[in-house]
Amino acid sequence: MLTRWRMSCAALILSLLACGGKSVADQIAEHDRVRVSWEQTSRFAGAEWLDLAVPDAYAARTLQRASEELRSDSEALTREQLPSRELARLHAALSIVRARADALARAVRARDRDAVIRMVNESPRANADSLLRQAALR
Amino acid sequence: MKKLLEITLGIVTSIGGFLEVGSLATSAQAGAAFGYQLLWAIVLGTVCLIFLVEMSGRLAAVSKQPLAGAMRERFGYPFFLIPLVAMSLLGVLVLASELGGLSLALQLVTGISFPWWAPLGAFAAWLLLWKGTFSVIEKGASLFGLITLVFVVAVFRLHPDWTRAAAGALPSMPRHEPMRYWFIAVSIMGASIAPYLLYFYSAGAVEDKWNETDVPVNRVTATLGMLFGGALSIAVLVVAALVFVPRGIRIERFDQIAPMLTPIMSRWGFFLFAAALGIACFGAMLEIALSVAYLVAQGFGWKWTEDARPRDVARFSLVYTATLIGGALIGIVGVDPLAITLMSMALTSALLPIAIVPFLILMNDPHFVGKHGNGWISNTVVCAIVALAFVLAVVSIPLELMGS
Amino acid sequence: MDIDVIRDLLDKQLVDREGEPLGRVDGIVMAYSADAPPRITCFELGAQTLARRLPRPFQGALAWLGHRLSPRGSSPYRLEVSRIIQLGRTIKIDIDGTRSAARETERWVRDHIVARIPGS
Repeated sequence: MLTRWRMSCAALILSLLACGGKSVADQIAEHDRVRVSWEQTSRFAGAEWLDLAVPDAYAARTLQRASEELRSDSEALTREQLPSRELARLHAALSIVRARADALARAVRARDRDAVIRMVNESPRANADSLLRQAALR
Repeated sequence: MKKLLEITLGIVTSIGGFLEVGSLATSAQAGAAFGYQLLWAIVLGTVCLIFLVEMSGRLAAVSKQPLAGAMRERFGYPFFLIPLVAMSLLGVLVLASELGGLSLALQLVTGISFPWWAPLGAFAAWLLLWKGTFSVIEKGASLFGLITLVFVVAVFRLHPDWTRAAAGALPSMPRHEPMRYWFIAVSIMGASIAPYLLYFYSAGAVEDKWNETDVPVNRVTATLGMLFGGALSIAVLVVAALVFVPRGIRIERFDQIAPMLTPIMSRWGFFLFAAALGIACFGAMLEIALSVAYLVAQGFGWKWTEDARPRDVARFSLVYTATLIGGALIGIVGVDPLAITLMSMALTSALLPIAIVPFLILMNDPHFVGKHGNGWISNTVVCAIVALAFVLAVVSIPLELMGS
Repeated sequence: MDIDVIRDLLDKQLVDREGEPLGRVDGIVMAYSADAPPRITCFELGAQTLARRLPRPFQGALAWLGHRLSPRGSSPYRLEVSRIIQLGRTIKIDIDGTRSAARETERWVRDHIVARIPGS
C-alpha cells in the first residue's frame, strides 16, 4: 500500500518535471517575448518622455535597464541548445533592439528631443489591435 | 447614527489599507500578461478574505481574545510554534517586499537610485510605531491610503469592455505560458488573503474592546471594506491590461509598472502612481511589523498594545523593531524587488493552511465563539479556496524556481 | 466547578492582581506523596519549561537559547495555584506583577535595550 502511494507520488513529480522542461519552440517564443517586451518598454519610455509624462531620470534609467535586460537575455541565449539558424536570428534581433535602446538612452540623457522623436517613430510599434484581440480585451 | 459612522469609518479604513505592493504588483503583472483572464484569482482571494476578516473580528468580539492568543490556548504551545514561526518569517519576507515598493516609489519621485532607501524607509516606519498610537497609525495610514482610489478613476477613464472583464471573473485555462499563468494566480491569491491582516484586525478589535453587540457591525464593515478593497486590485489589473497589453509590454521588472497611469493622466499619473505605491507600501509595513509583534506577544502572554510607551511594552516593541530590521536587511542585500514580492506572495499561499486550518477549528469551537460559531457556508468557502491556493502553490512554486 | 487541566489551565493567560499580563501557563506542576492524593500545586513559566514540551530534537536548541537569553538563566519560575483569585478567560493571581520574577525578562529588555533608545 505504502509503496503504491510512493510510486504515484514519484509519478506525479516526474510528470511535473516533464511539464517544466521547455521545448525548443517554447524557448524561442520566450526569447521573442522578452525582446519584444523590452523593445516596447523602451518605445513607451521614449514616447512618454516626449509627452513630458515621465521625468528624465526615470526615462534614462528604464532605457538603461532595457539595454541590460537585453544583454542578459543574449547571454542566456549562448548557454542554450537551439538550432543554429534560430540562434543567429535571435542574436541579431537582440543586438538591433539593444543598440536602439542605447541610442535612445543617449538621446534622452542629452535631452535631444528631435533625435528621440525620430527614434521613437522608427522603432516598430506593437500591433495593438491584434494584441488586444489575442488577450480578449476587444 | 453612531453605528453608521462607525461602519463608514471601518469601511474607509479597509479600503485605504487594502492595496499593498503584493496585490499591486501581482495584479499589474497579471493584467499585462493575460488581460482580464486572471480576474478570477482576485475574486476568489477577496471572497476568502471577506470571510476570514469577518471571522477574526467575530472571534475577538465574542471571546475577547485576539487570534494568536486563542490559537495557543486551543492548540497548545508546541503546535502554536508552527504558525508562529512560519508567519513571523513570512512577515519579514513580505515586509522586505513592501520596502522594495517603498524604495521604488521614493526613487520615482526623487529620481535618485539609492540603495539606502530601504533602511531609511524602515527607520521612518519604526519611528512612527515608536512614537505613534494605534488609532493615529491605523486611521492615518488608511486616510492617506485612499490615494489608491486613483486606479478606480483611471479605470473609468479607460472605458473598459465590462462584459469581457466579467468573463475573466470565471476561472479558465491559460491560452499561453501556463506555468507563468498559474504562478501569478497563486501570487494573487496569496496577496489578497494576506494572513497578517487577520492578526492585525483581531488585535485592533480587542484593543477597541469589541463585544457581542459589535458582531453585526463587524459583518458589514468586513464585507463592504474588503469588497471595495478587492475592487481596487481589480482596477489595477484592468488598467494594466488596457495600458500594457496593446503596447506589447510584459512586466519583468518593477519599474516597468511605474508609467501605468501616464497614458491616462500624463505627468500627474506618474507622480500619483508613485505616491499611491509609496503610501500603500508604508502603511502595509506598519501593519506587518505590528502583526508579527501581536503574534509573538499574544502567543507568549506578554503585555501588548500600540497605545503605550515602548518602555511599558518592552518585549512587544522589541519584536516589531526586530521585524523591521530583518526586512531592511533583506532590502539592503538587494534582491530583485519584483521577484521577492511574487515569491513571498506565492509562499503565503503555500503556508495558508498552517494559519487558516487552526483558525477554522477555533471558529467552530463553542468554547471560544459560543453560539456565534461559523456556518457551513463560511467553512466550505474558506476551506475550498485555501485548498485551491495551497495545491496551486505547491505545484507552481517548484516549477517557477526551476524555470528561472 | 470542574476544571479541565489542559483546556482550562495550560497555555492560559496569567495576570497579576491589577490585571496586567504575567505570561502564559507554560507548565503545570503536580505534587504527589504516598499518603495524599496528587494535586496541582504550581504553574510554571519559562523557556526551560517551554523547551521540555517540544519534540526531542528541538529541546536542546531551545533550552540553550533560553539559557543564553534569559536573565534568570535556566530555572523556570513558579506561581502557587493557591494564589489564584479568579479563573475565567484569564487566570488572575494575587501577586504584585511589577516586582514578580515572572516579568524579569520584560524588565531586563526594558532596562537594557528599550530604555536606551531615545523616545521610549
